[in-house]
Amino acid sequence: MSEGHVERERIDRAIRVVLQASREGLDVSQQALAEKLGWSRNMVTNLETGRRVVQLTDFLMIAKALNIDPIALLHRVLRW
Amino acid sequence: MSEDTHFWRLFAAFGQVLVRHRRKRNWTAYRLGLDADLSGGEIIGRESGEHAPTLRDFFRIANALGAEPALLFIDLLSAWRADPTDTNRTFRPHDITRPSRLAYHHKPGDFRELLTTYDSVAEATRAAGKLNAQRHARGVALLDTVAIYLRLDCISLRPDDGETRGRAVKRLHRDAQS
Repeated sequence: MSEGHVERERIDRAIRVVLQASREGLDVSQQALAEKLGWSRNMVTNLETGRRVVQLTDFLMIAKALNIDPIALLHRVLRW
Repeated sequence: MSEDTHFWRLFAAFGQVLVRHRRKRNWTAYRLGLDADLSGGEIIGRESGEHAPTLRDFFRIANALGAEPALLFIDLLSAWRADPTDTNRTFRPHDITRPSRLAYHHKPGDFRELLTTYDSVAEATRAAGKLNAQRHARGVALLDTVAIYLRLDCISLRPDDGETRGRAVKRLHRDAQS
């Protein structure tokens, strides 16, 4: 497995873990977050499990829905 | 501006920031793509705002550019928010051009910042060198930190429609007390 591939996997995992942890830290269910975003619950599940790649717009919409500053959320991903 | 339009503008903003950073380095889209593990076509697609960027793309591109992801993200948010039709969200150049302040740990738990602001971390660091020479001679704590700021949002203090100036002053005073 190439170094680049390992790094990509790490970034993908960091994004998923941070998004899920941020939601759970605020005691927001996947269903509740989906409703705030106007998404299906499956879409939230797929983002958190890696079945759907997180778009930049997804990231910003989730930050807004959870009332988290997007730069602070990005810092969590970077520090993971 | 609708929420959908607001987020769709993000694609164009990402493209603008990407083009600016790539051209600053005199790189072709192919060269950037090579380092970011994307094709030249994928880079061009993202620069034109036609392709929605993933967060993974963002990190790959930041890494390829040698840019600090958080600062590139700040650039992106600034470009996204600079909507000329939305006066409340208009990005002002001085919000970014003078974002740095020098600071020091006076003693444990007592972190202090100087009031002077600088255009960049590099400028702040150079100033710190000169100031620290003076501070060392005076035997005071040396500057050991550069703090970076960004305006994340703004709230209008202008009077509501139909509100008189006198009532606006009273409202602002009341809000300040709460």
